[in-house]
Amino acid sequence: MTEFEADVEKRLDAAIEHAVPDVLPEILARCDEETIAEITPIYAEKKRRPWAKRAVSLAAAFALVVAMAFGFSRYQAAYAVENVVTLGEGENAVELALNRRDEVIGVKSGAGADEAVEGLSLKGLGITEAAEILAEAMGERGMMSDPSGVTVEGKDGEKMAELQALVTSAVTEAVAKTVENAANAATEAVDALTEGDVAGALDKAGEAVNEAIGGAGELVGEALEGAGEAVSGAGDIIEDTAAGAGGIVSAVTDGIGGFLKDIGDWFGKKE
Amino acid sequence: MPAAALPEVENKDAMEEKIARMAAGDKNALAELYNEAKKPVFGFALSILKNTEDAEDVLQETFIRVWRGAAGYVPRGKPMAWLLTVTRNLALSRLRERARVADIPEETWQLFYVESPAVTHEDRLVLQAAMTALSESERQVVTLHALTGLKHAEIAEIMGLPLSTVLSKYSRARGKLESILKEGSI
Repeated sequence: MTEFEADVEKRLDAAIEHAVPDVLPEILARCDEETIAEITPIYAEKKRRPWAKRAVSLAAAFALVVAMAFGFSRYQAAYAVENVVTLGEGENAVELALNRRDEVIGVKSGAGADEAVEGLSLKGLGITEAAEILAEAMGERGMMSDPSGVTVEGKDGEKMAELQALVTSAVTEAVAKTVENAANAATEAVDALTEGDVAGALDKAGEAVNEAIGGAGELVGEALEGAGEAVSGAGDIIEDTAAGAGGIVSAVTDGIGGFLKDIGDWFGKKE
Repeated sequence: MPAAALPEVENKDAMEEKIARMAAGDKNALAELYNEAKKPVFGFALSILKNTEDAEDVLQETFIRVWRGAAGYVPRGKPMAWLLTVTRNLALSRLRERARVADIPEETWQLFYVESPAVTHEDRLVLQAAMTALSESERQVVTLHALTGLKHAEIAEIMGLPLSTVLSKYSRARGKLESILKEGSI
């Protein structure tokens, strides 16, 4: 660039520099206007947004709380142990854990009651049904002959009393059923004995003994007595049978001897 | 090197940084960019429009457009070139509008430097010579070279002309100005 060119450009630059108007305030004002124009609707939305957001948040929180309460309630009703009913005592005791709906959700047995509980499917059953089944099973094994062996634990005294009555009733029914079964078996044994059915009598006597051992405490002696009689009767019958058999053998022997003698005689005459 | 080269304007990274800040809504960055670039923008607009009022409008509009477009600015070359391209488009648009309406008397643009006390007599002569004796494209080449510090190749790109054309126009403009100023015919 020549000196002339540099001088011209310098003067041109100086002339323009002093001529440039200051329009920055106008530019900034227009930018502000545009910003406000652009932002206003956003502000308008924002005015609603915090409210809407808060409402949505509250609704979501409320829904969550309700859902959690509902879930907790369902869980409590289904899985939380509300009461524990115990049948029997000591090692023969069986504990039934109940939920809020009085359904069995857990079964715990002492060492002596394992056999009675084994094979029973009590979970999910109502307490009445479960108590009947359990009392019957325990009664058959001589572990439950008295409804007084029922205890209930829980938080609500009223509910505990209700369960106590319910279970005691169910157990009483089950025990009565066991006693009735024992009595019936003993009767059948005696009937069989009078009919001379030794084997049947023995079977019935055995059943009666079993039933009697089970739960009919006061019938135990009677059943044993009946069974004893059945055994004794069976002995007599066996004795009589043996005697009869001896007579038959003797008669057969005699018959065979006579037969042989006749044959001998026939051959003698012929010679 | 151009006598009126602007170190700030040539600082590509600094300008890009300002544009980035503008994209983020920083008005201070807009003010800083305005102060750095107002002279070349105004000068270039004036060289096209030869009217201070229109040039002032274009100056204002250019920075508004830059403010709006800052977020979409893609660095491809010098930011000043982008700024001047915006200026040129706006000025040409204004020229077309003016052609549709009516021609503004040439005296209008002359008022500004007459009224400015900071401008020396020689400065006024140079400016007046540039505005009256040079053709439109010559005036633009000279103004851009004097005010922006851009190279001829960059000026060629802004004006959409071949480099050789820009060089010849610059050379011709220098000759005309030299002749006029030596003769003192203005």
